[in-house]
Amino acid sequence: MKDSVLHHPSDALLVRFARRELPLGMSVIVSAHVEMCGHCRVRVAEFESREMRDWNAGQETVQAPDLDFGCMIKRITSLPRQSAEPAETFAAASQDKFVKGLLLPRALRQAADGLRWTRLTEGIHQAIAPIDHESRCEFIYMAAGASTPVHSHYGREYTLVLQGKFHDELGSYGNGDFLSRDASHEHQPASENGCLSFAVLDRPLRFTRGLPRLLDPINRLRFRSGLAR
Amino acid sequence: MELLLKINPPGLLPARERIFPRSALLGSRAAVKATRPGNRDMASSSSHLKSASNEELLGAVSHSGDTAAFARLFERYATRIYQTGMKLTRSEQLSRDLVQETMLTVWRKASLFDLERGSADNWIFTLARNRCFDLLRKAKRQPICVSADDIWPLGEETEPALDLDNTAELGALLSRVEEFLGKLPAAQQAVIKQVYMLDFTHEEAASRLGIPLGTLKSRLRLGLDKLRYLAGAGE
Repeated sequence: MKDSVLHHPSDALLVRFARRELPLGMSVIVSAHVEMCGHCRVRVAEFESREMRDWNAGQETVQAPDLDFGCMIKRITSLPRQSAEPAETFAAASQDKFVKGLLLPRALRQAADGLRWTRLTEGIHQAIAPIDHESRCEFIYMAAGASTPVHSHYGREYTLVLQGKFHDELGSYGNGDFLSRDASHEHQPASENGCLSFAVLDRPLRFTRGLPRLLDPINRLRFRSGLAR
Repeated sequence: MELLLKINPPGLLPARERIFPRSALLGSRAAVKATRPGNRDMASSSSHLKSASNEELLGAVSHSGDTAAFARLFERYATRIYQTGMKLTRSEQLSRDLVQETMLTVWRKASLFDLERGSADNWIFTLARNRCFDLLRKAKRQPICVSADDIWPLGEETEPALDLDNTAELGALLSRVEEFLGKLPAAQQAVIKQVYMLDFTHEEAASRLGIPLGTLKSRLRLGLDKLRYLAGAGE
């Protein structure tokens, strides 16, 4: 498989991913990137095996808990086992109007079921994915030729390009690219041929210029109502 | 494209669920299963189990539901899983639940363990942490539209499907499968033919070809990756 991903999560982020330390929404977006990126799969495998060594090394330090294992074993072995052959289901691609025939990374598939798209501005569509209480997870579709208002973020925004390309002041991004933006970045993404991406935001966006700025309070409201209930 | 479609009308294929018409030649999987020889006997005297590796124990659980082998695995892992639970949840109750949930998954899904992809340690450790993540999430009442196994796959899961926009492409691809197959190393061709064209189970194909199950699975995976690559490159 060709590997043309250019923008990756930092090693620090991948370590926290491997340790299961990231919040849910973050775990999901990093997982989706890792599935699309051979380079990061290898990195994560390294970090996982480090974790493994610690796991094996740590086993002498705590005394065995006082558990009735015998009883647990009996209960478990009385239950049926799964047949040897796993059903080789090939996941159906989403029927969603913007996701179309694209086969999403595993961590996103269920969330992309039954998306409700909202038009934010000309050519920019957003659909909240009900993944996490603590961060806002959303799919963003930019139609060909669309650009968002100039904005920055109160918190940090992570974006993964699922299909297509977009660019901003700092560069241009394609399939599988992973971006991290914080309050110091003020940017205006635009796409020439259309782009589907997934984003995780730990705080709302802040529009920095012109008319959209007036909408800022509304935008914050939308952030709150957009959090998964 | 149209010509190819006539050869392989997409209507004959169950939507996009399968790349190859597995049952076309040999009838249903159930019929194949019925004639399948019994599971390999795993004699499990307790002295044999003491020195058995974790991988061998998992194999015994997988092949014949060997409860003694499972008990042995339980002894070897329960404490470590419990400790992982205590570290991550600081709750004795949750940690106890974690031991049970993890070992239950080991019992149920031992057959999905794939030696080619890592050690038993690795597999069970991943299982334990995934179950822990889900337990914690349940405790926090997070919406469940993604499971830990989706985020940190165990390696046994479905092959990623080909990214095809419509059934027309699928039909066209199927007609080119033979051409693609010809470009694969003979060993990979052989396993793909056994499994996807003659519809044998992995176990049957392995014994027909006289290779270990793990080898079969890894050849199958490599072969399918290569096919997928060829399919993608041909567009």
